[in-house]
Amino acid sequence: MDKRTFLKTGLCGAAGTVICPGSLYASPAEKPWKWSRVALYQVETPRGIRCQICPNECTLKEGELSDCHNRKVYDGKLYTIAYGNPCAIHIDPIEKKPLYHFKPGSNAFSIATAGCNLACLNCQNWTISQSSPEETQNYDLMPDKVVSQALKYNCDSIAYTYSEPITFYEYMYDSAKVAHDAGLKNVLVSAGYIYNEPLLQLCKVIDAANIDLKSLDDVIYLKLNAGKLEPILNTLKTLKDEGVWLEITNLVIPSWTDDLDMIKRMCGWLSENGFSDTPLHFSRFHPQYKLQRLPSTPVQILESAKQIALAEGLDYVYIGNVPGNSSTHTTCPHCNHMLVERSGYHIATFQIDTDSCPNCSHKIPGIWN
Amino acid sequence: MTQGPYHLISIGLLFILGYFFSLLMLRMQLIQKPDHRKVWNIGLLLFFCSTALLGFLLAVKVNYKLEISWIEDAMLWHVNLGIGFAFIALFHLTWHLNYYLKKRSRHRGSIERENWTPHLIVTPMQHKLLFLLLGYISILSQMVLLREFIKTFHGNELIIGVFLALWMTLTSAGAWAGVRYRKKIGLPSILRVYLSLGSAALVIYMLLILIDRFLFLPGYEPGTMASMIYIILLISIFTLVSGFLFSYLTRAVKTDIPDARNYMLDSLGSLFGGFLFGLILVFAFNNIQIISLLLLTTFLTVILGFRYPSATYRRLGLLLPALLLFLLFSFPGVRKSIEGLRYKKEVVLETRDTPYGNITLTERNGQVIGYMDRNPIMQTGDLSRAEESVHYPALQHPHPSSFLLMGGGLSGTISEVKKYRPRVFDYCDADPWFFKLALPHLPPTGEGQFNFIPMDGRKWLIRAEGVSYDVIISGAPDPYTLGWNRYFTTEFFNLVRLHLAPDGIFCMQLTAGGNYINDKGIRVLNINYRTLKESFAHVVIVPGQISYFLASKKPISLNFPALLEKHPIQTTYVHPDYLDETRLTFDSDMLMDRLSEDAIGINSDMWPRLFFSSLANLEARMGSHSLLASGVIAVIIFLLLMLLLPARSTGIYMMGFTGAGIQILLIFILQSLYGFAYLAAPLMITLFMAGIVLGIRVWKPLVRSASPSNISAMIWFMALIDALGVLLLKYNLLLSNPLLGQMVLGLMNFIPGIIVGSVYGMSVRLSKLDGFINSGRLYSADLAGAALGSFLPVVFLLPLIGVANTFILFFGINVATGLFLLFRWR
Repeated sequence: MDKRTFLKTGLCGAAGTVICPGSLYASPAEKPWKWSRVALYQVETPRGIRCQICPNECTLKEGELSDCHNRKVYDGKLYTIAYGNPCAIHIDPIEKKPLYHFKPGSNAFSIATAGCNLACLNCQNWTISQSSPEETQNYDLMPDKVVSQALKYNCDSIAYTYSEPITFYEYMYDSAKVAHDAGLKNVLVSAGYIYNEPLLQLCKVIDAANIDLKSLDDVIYLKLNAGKLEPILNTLKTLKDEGVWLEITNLVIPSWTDDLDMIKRMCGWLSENGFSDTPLHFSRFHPQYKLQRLPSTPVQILESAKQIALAEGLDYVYIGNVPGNSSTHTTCPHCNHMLVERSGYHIATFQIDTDSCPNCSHKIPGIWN
Repeated sequence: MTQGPYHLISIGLLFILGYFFSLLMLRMQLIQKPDHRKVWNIGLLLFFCSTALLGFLLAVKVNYKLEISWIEDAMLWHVNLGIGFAFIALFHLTWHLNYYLKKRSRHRGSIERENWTPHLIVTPMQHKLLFLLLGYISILSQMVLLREFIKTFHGNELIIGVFLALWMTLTSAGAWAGVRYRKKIGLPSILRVYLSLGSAALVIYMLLILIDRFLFLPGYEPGTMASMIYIILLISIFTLVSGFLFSYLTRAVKTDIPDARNYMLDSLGSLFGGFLFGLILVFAFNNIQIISLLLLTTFLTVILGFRYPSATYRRLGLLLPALLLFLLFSFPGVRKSIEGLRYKKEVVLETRDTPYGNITLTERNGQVIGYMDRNPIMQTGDLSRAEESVHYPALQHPHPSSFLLMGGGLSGTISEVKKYRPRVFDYCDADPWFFKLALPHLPPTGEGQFNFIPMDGRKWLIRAEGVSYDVIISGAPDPYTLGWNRYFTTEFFNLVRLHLAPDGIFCMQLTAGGNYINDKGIRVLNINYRTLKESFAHVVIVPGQISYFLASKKPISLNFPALLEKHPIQTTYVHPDYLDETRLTFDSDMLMDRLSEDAIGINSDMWPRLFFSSLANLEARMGSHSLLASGVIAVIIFLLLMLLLPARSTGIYMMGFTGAGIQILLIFILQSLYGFAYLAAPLMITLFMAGIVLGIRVWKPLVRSASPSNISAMIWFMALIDALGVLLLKYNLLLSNPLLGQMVLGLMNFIPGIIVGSVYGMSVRLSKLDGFINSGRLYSADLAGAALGSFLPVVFLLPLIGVANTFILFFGINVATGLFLLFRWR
């Protein structure tokens, strides 16, 4: 090859690199794909299209991706790119959510797409929560198929879980409507980081919810989760007011959320705000994601947290993620009669009689059938 | 809101590659220098004009509050073009650097020839002490601080490689600066610097603890990029100063000793320090004690060797605190208090620095936690993991009566194994310290005995001829290091299969698991699955938060509830109440669907693919993308230095690279084949240093005269060593006679040291400029090569192309370097 040919070839190659679509610069916004729908709760502003589902309030320009990784603007409209493309599908016992007072012993058809509007350092599902649906391997499961699969596997409910279902709001909402028509229940497992208006709409199709109350400290919410506390508290109140069956989970993380004073304040707040009969689950932390250098929560701390919660007036307090722990049984808060004896995810005995304690007739809240 | 980033890296890479490409064309004489410069000058002008114009426009917009709809795009272009402009300006600067340097060096050179004379008058013994002590302080500080950095950041091969590469690079930079420093520094100041260097490790140690305690979020592990920044900040002063000292002292000390001998003395000091650390100190003392011993011995040497400070009370003022510190740190209570600062809200029960790393046991609210290098590896009350790792395999066997457990026993697995009342129960743990320290603090392991074998599990399998087990369980952690990768290779699995009874079952685990496994995690599982399939007919993955692999000659069942009915075993988590066969099968099938049939390659001793994939998966978890970027940057730096260094430095630079690289390869081979988990590294380093010392001494009688052709010949001799490595591996000659094999490997490490020393000695002699300026530059070039040689092979070459191909690559590099020097050295 002579110098002239070499230079010509080199320049052509360089030009091709610049022209070809895989160039190093950001490409223009891609057309919505098969799993996109126009997003609900958006408003146009001079700075871009603002999403109004959650307090992150992402304001996006053409082609930009939201903080939750699954909303994009195309042609002046906000689209969700998480619709009909779940990446995680499992059949879980309802107790795993955890929901102890909702159709005990049943199975939940559990789905999730990628994306989350928080960034918890301890996320168990970080591989999907901190990714976009464009990065994960997904199934093709439109709402009607979700329901047909749930029925095929004899599940009583569909659980929107694992990552953060608020970020696939439209998919969840549409699937929930179809599920209701088919006689299935809908379960929301979420961090509760959502605005009131979309939550009110969601409450029309959701039957039960487990909300993570990560702490009662704004600073922890910021440093650990990249969120805020107040929206979560509002979510709890709204769900209660709208009649959605609610259970609350608090993950006790050593050095982060294991402060017993903070736990006392949290239980005090729950008690004062009408959540005394709302089941509270203290869950044991195991090293995950970016918090791999912490040990698991000592069981003693979970036991202490439980005692504090009971002392603050909460009636139903459980300890989760500790196999063999006896704090998974349901007892009557009035007469201490054993109502539901659980062994793992298995119901050993069930003695609730028409939503009441068979011993003292005290009303036991829950959806027991 | 996610903002589009300025394309710093992509533009930078594009321009660097483009410049390198044009430089290559220039060197190949496909273009002329004026044309080359013209192209880049035009680029400079274009980028300058566009950046300036847009900047001007933005200034007008802001000042006069104009409304321009496309202004944000303009800003983006302004910055991106500015980035391009900055890079081209940088290239431009390198063209004219000589202008400034020549002026300075001509000026300085002329001044030096007129005014610069070696001014430090010391006795021959003191001269030797200066360089010996420097080598001693450097190597000891490096080894002990590496262990501390592993504790604070993450003990994976990438961090280790980054640490060593940064250490040598900064030392090299310091040496380069020392060549140019014009002011004269008196001996008292020099000695004060030595005292500071001797104390630096203690200061850095304390800073690491404070950073861990106060800067890091609880439990949070910084990513590679953040770790790199911390490493640079913490070690830069020490390494720059120590490198500077070497070069400066080479110029400044008035002596008849040939210049190259300084490098020999420095190497001797390193040799001594490495020997002392690797073979004595690490077994006898904790890191803090070694650091205080370093402080004490440095002070003693300066005081006794140089009688500095002159006043007796000042000498006592130095010695007494140093001695007191050493004594203080010998108290376990003091060490626990200091280490305990890292562990908030936990009471430290034991802490010990062992050859394998730091073991710390803590207690918190009744729970005992065992940490290895800050990572929790065991705790009481973690029932599920202990049950899973034992009962998943054991339940597959009708009557398991012989067990081999390799590591992880103290997490409760020993108690679970005892439930089967085994006739034979062997427990191997390569780190006997952990076992000894932890056992008194743990609840009883239950009735029945077990045979504790303080040995690497793989080594045990090699020695235990004729022994077979019903169940073999590997508790090895994820292969983030080449050492742990040995438990995931086809050679290891073959060994396991040989020791399994006909109905036997093998179990191991990887942490890639959960409700969804990302592509990198799938790749890790896939490589391991394929590797296991090479040795076992039946392999099943039990999905969960952790993925358990079960392998056997017989079919494997996931119906644990049914299997449990056949065994009178009391379990809590591995129990029908938690595990449902339908769900497990559903999840397992979905996982298997994602494992592809692609030719993904298997993991072997000499081609550690799984190690690299695990590192990539770890990087994904940390949210950093440094792995590939660091490799690309390292390759670019390697190539640029190769092109830009003068011929007289290229030889030693390449020898530094391949010498360090061969050392790493040989340590790796020793570990993989013979299981020398810890002793290999200091022994090999010692041999290599000894080779350097000898090489500097004997090059003259060896080759008679220094010449470019003799240097090339030495480099080609190094290529022969690479070729020998390939032959040994190809014909599997190392395993047939282990003793001979180890001797050959030792020799293969010793001879490159001689070659490096010889090339260094010859290069010094051959340099055209003033002798003691150049030896500093050569030292700098050697270190730069060694920095890259200790990073690239470990993190990239080994796992991506395997050991044999890495030897072939080194062979090619050495042959090409020899030819290059012959033609380029004028």
